[in-house]
Amino acid sequence: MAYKIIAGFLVLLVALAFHLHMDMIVLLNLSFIKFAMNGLLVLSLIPMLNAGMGMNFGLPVGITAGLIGMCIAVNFKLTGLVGLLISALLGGFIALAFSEVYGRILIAVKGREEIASTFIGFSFIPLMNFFWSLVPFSNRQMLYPIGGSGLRPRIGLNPYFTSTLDQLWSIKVGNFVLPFGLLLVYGIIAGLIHYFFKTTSGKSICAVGENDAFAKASGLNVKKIKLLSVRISLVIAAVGIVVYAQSFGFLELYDAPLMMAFPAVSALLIGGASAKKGTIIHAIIGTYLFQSIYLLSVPIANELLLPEISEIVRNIITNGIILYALLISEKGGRYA
Amino acid sequence: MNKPILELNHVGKHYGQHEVLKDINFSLMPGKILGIIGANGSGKSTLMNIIFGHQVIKNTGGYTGVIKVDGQRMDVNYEGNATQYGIGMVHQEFALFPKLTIAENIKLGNENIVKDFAKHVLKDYLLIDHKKDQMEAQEKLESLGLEIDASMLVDHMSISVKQFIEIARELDRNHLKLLILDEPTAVLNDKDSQLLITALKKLVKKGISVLFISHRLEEVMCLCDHLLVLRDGETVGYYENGSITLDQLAIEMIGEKVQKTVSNRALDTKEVQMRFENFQVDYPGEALENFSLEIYKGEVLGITSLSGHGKLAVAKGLIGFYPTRGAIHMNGLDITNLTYQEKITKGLYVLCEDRKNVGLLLEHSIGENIVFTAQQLYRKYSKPHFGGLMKLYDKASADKAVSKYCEQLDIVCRSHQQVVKTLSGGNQQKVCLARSLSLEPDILFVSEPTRGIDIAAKEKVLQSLIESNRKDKMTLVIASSELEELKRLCDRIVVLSEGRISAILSPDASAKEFGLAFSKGGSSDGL
Repeated sequence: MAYKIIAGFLVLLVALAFHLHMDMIVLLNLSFIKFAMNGLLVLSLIPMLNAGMGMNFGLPVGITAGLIGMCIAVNFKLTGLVGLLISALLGGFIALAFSEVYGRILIAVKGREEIASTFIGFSFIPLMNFFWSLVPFSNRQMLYPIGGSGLRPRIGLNPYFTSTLDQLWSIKVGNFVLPFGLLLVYGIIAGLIHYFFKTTSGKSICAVGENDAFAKASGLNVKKIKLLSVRISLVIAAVGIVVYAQSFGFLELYDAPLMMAFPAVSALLIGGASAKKGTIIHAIIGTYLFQSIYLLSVPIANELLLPEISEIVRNIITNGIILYALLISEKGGRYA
Repeated sequence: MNKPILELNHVGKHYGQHEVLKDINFSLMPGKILGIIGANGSGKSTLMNIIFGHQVIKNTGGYTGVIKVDGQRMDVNYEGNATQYGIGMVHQEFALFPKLTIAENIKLGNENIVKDFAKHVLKDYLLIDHKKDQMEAQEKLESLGLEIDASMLVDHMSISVKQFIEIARELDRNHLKLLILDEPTAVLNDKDSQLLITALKKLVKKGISVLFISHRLEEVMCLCDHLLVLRDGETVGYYENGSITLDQLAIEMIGEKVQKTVSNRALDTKEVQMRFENFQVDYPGEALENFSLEIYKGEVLGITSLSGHGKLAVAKGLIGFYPTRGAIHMNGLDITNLTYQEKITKGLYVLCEDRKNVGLLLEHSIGENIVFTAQQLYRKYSKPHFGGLMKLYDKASADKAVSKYCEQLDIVCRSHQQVVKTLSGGNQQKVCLARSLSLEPDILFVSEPTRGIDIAAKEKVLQSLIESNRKDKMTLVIASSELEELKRLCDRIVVLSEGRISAILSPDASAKEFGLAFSKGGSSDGL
C-alpha cells in the first residue's frame, strides 16, 4: 500500500522537475547511484526480518564493523578495488564477531527485538566513539590535524577508493551513464540472498520467523537459526557501508551511523515488506522509490520553497512511513 | 428456609450446531452441598459458566431455560455480575494479586473506609481503614479454620493457603448465598483437602449453599448432600448421598457403552522399544510426575486422563517445550539428554495437539508443510546447485511425495500450493499427519489426533494411523481425551490422574475400572 502513495509522490516530483527544466538525465544517473549506494543497507535488514526478529534498528552495529574495516584499509593506504575488497572482507569478519554478542542479546529479549536493537544501536555509538578517538592508527590523513591522535569525524576517501565501484565498467550513452559495476555488485548480493532463501537453511529462517514453536517441534535449533540470520544481516550491512562510503566519498565516524537505520527501514517498508516478512523485490522497489524522492526533493524544494524545507520533508517521510507501517501491522494482526 | 437458593429448569446450551447441555434440572436448598461429577466434555464447565454469568455464554447466544436464584429469576443477559445475586465462585486458576497482602486481597473492592465524611463528594477517594480490613479478613480466615497472619503478602503463600484466601474473599461479600467451587482440591494435598472439607461443612451450617465440582469421587461422596452426574451434556443421575456406591458412581460417570475393539490382538513379542523412568514434565496446568512406563515394539498405546491431568505432557516434554527430569531410553539408547532433533533422527516423532500454533506453518503451502521437516533434518527433496555450493528445493521430488500423501490421506485441496491457513481443520490435521509419516518414525506420539475435526476426517486419520502401525510396524502412542476412540484402537490404555499413572488397562476393561482410574485422587505422600 505504502509504495503506491510514495510512487504517486515520486510521479509528482518528476513532473515538477520537468516543469522546472531540471536536467533529467543527470537526475536519472544519480538515482541509480543512490539506489545501489543505499541498497545493500536495505537488503541487510531482510534476513533478520524473516527470522522473526523484526526490523534491524541496530543497523549501526553492522555499519560500525564496515567502518572499522575501511579504517584499517585506509590506514595501510590501500586504493581502488583492492582497498574496497579488503575493507569489505575485514568489515565482514568484524561484523561476524559483533553478531555473536548482538545476536545473543536479541535472542534473549525475544518478542521485543526491535526496541532492544534500537537501543543497542544507540548505546553502541558512544562506546565506539571511545574507540575512534583512542585507536592508534598512523595514517596522517585520518587523524586530527592538530595533536595528531584520534580519528577525524570525516575522512576523505579521495586518494583511496572514492567512486571506484561507481565508475567500474560504467556504460556511457550520450549523457546517460549506467554504473554497471555498482549495479552488478548489488545484483550479485541480492541474487545470493534470493537464492539463500530457497535453500534449506533459508527456509528454516522463514519457518522460525513465522512460527518458532513449529520450528522447535520440527527439531530445529531456533537459537542457532536466529543467530545465523543476525550474522548474515550484519555482514551485509558491513559490506553495504563500504559500498555507501565509496559513493559518498567520505568515511563518516562517531555519531554519523546513529540514525542510518531509519531510512533503510523506511525504504524496506515502502517497498511493501510487512513487520514479519520481506523479500528482495520489496527491497529493490522500496530503495529506488525512497532514494529517488530524496534525490528529487532537495533541488525542487530549494527551487520552490525554502532551502531548509527538503530536510524537513525527508524526516517526515522517513519517520512517518515507519509509524504508518507500525499502525498497519498492528491493525492487520501481527500474530494473526 | 424452604425456598431453594438455586433452581434450574430445563437449562440447555448450544454452541453453534453443537448441543453441549440438554435439559438440566435441579434445585439446591440453603445449607446444602451439591456435588457435580462428569468426565471431559460432560458440560460441567459450561454449566458453571451459565450460572456464574460468564461472558462466553452471552457471546455465543445465551442459554435456554430458567435459572432462579432465591426465587428470583436470573436475567439472561446479565454479564459476569453474579455477585449481585449472592453467588461467589472460586476458579481453578487463582485470581489473586500476589503483591498485595492477604487482607488487601480479601477486601479488594469491599474496603472499609475511615470516615463517611463527605462520602458523596469524595466518592472513590476516601481513605481505607486498613486496621478494620485486617481484622475482618483475619476473622474470615479463622472461620475457615486457617491460622495465618492476614498482613502477609499473598506471593509467599502456598497453593493451599491461596485456595483458602479465595474462599475467604468470596465469604467476605455481603449476603453470599451460593459458593461455587471448581475442582478446589485438585491442587491440595490430602491434609489440606480434609481441612477444606471441614471448613465447607462449617460454612453450610450458616446457611450458605455450595456447588462442588470435583473429579475425586471419594471427596464428593464424603462431602456432598446430593450428587448430580453429567455425561455428554445430559443429566444421567441425581442422587441423595448414600443411595449410591462409589463403584456405581464411577460407572455412571463413564457410561457403559459397548464398543467393538478393532485391535483385539496379542502382540507376538513384547520387546521393549521405549522406556520412561520417573519421567517428569513441568508443564504448568498439566504436570506429569513419576511417569515410568515401558512401550513395546509395534503396539498401539493410549494415554488418557481428564483435562489438566497430564496426558498431553508426555509429548510436550519429549519435544522439550517444558523442563523435564527422569530418564528415557529408546531402542536401547539413552536419549534423555538428546536434543529433539537428535531424537527425531533416532526414530521418534511427536505430533502436538496444537495444530495452529505448533503443528503448521499457516502461511505456507500444503506441500511445504508436508516436506518441511524431512527436508530440514534429512536434506530430502533438495538437489545441489552451482556445483554443490547451494542445495535448493527440488520441486519434482517434493511434488511426488506430496501427491502420494495427499492421495493416501485424502487431503482435499485445490492444489498443493494452497496455503494451509485456508484448509479445514480436518485437512490441516491430515497435513500434520502427512509430515509425521514422511519422516517414517519408528515410534510416533500423537496428541489429540481427532480434536476439532469432522467425522469423515476423524475416521481417515485414525485409519491411517492404524495402517502405519500394522504395515510399517510403527509403534504408536496416542494421547487423547476420547476414551471411545482409544478403546477402539489401542492395545493398552494408560490412565493418568493428577499427573501420575493411576492404571494401565486393557481396552476391554469395564466402565467402572476406567471411572475409578480417572478419579483416583490425592497423592498420599502430600505434595
